[in-house]
Amino acid sequence: MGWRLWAVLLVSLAGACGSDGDGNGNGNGNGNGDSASLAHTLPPYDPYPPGLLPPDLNTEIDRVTAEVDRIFREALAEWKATPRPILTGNPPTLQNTGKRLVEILGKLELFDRTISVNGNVACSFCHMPYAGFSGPISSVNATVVAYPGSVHYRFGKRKPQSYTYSPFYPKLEFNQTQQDFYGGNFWDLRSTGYEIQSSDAEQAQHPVVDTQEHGFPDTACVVFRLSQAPYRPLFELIWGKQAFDIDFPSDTRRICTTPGGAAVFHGNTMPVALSRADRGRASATFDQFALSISAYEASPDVSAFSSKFDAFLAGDPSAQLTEDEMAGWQLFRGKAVCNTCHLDGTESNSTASIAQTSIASKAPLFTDFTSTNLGLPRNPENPFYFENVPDRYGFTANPAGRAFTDLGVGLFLRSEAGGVNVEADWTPLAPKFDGKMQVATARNVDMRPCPTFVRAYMHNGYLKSLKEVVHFYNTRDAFLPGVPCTRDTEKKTCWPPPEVDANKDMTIGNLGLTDKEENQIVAFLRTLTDGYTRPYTDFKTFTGTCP
Amino acid sequence: MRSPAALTIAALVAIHGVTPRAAAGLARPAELRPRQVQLVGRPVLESATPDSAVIRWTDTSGGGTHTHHGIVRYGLDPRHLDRTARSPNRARMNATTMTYRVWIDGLAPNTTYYYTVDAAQADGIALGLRGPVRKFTTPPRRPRRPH
Repeated sequence: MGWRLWAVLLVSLAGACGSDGDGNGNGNGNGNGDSASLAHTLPPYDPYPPGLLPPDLNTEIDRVTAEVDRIFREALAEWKATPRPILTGNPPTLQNTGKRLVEILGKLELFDRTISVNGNVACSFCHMPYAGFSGPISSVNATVVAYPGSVHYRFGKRKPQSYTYSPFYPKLEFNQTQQDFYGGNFWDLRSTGYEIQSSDAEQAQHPVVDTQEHGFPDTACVVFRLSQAPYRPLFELIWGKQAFDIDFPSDTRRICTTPGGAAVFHGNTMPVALSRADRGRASATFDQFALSISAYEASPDVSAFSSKFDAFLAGDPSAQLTEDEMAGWQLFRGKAVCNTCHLDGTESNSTASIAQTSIASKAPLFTDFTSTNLGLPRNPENPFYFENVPDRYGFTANPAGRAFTDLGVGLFLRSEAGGVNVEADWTPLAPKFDGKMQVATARNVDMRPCPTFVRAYMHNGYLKSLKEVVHFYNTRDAFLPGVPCTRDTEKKTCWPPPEVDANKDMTIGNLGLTDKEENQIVAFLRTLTDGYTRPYTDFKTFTGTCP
Repeated sequence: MRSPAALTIAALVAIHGVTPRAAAGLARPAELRPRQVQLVGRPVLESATPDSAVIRWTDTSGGGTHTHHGIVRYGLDPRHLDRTARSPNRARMNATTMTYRVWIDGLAPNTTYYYTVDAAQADGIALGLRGPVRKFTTPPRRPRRPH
């Protein structure tokens, strides 16, 4: 690809950095001038083969960035319009508006693109509401699946997961009796929540210092940027004035505009030289940053329980499932065995049909919080395979190149590929978890701004529609394996071999579903989209065109 | 030549004479203690390629832990089933039967293999499902089509 996108990139970065040229599109006064000027004078990292990256990548980055900024500004306005809470009671509690203000704080943090090394990537850049808080660019979802980080074009190795219902996953524990891991966040469960007791909050702490995502070299940089954010008073109202009472060294700005992984850091992950007390304070503030985000993700803005299926479970007479949706649900909990992992609240009832009134759970989460290896093929379009040459900072994301095999939970348990295992007793379990990925909730799998907007499914986004997903579960083992797929047969009558053979789940793979039954399951999955009983917050923020 | 029944008994003794749990001196927790597990119908060869096969069966090992393991012990000699394939299968809640599918790879083309099936709950320790030695044959490798 080389310099093909370079001219477009200049325009893109100019837009991202705003009129003041300080890399701060939110106008909150952060200075990112060093990185902005650097980005304007040097070409992007581009080791990718021609045609791999979608041609509209930069215009779509601009589009999403503008959407992010708009939601950020609206959240700022909501904060300003919210009555100040009353600190009362013991323990002292923010009465009346305390809960909403914590959620607004989390929302501001998620939509603040100054929380990235180059001031151009907010958390929500990869997680927009209209896409179920997952990838917001149809052409990216249809191709490379992973999203470019703050340093263009470093890419992560997996599909952005959805925020929706992620706070409901418990902290990661190994259940000895079940011989299985329950909880955690991320595809590989590496966000355990071992310290702050929330796997979801801990999840929010990873991307900001991920070399291929927000790219900060030090968690203290997040605190430094927060200290300059326009919503700092809100943070201090909730978490206390001590949060930013930190003596940042004079070189903090320079350090925090140098991407993580740069050779200049020599592997040091705490290059901001803080005193011991200030380092502790910054770590506490970083935890509070994460807890605020989790509060927002658990709120009805994100995890709404407002789907048609929720209304159906609540007995809403206007939310009766259609014949196909009902048939799909019965298949989901019967012949297709979907609910052996995606728990729908009827697991204790094995009868062939079930009445609306006899469902055990009225708010099923459609996951069992475990992990599994579905035997998914590689996604050869994953840009991570090509990141085996150093960028201008001397950083190489994936030295193994195409030889990289995504072992999922097994990688985390071995403390490889970005995961850090916090329990030595778990390490020997790694071979039993090779290839396993989190059982994601089936809620909101069809949330999209328009029917033709492509969403990608599974950890590597190999599957591009719910029909493909159900067809894969149905027929993974049904066709003659070992026969090379062609463009005409792949995903129809042929599936490439699994990326990881070990621990391949055989519950599925040859379900014997007809084409009609596959479609009925898809129809049922579409009833799990929030926004049926009331509008889904920020759903109508998509400004792109549908393909 | 020994009769098929004798071969079956020899294989079962070879497999079940000393259970792994007994050898390890472990006691299975009460909630996992198996009842007598029996096949429901016959195991079948679901599919086979020159180097792999899927064996499917249903037995009465339903319930208990969420993940079960289907186990196929197989080999070229019915008296010496020296290889084992295991596959994880998720249990249906509140179901007394369990359908297993086990994927076996690394097979040779156009070769007959003998096998027995067994099951385990999440601890991976075989429940001791009893049944005769069966067999399947992999298809020959097809010559590649010229381009």
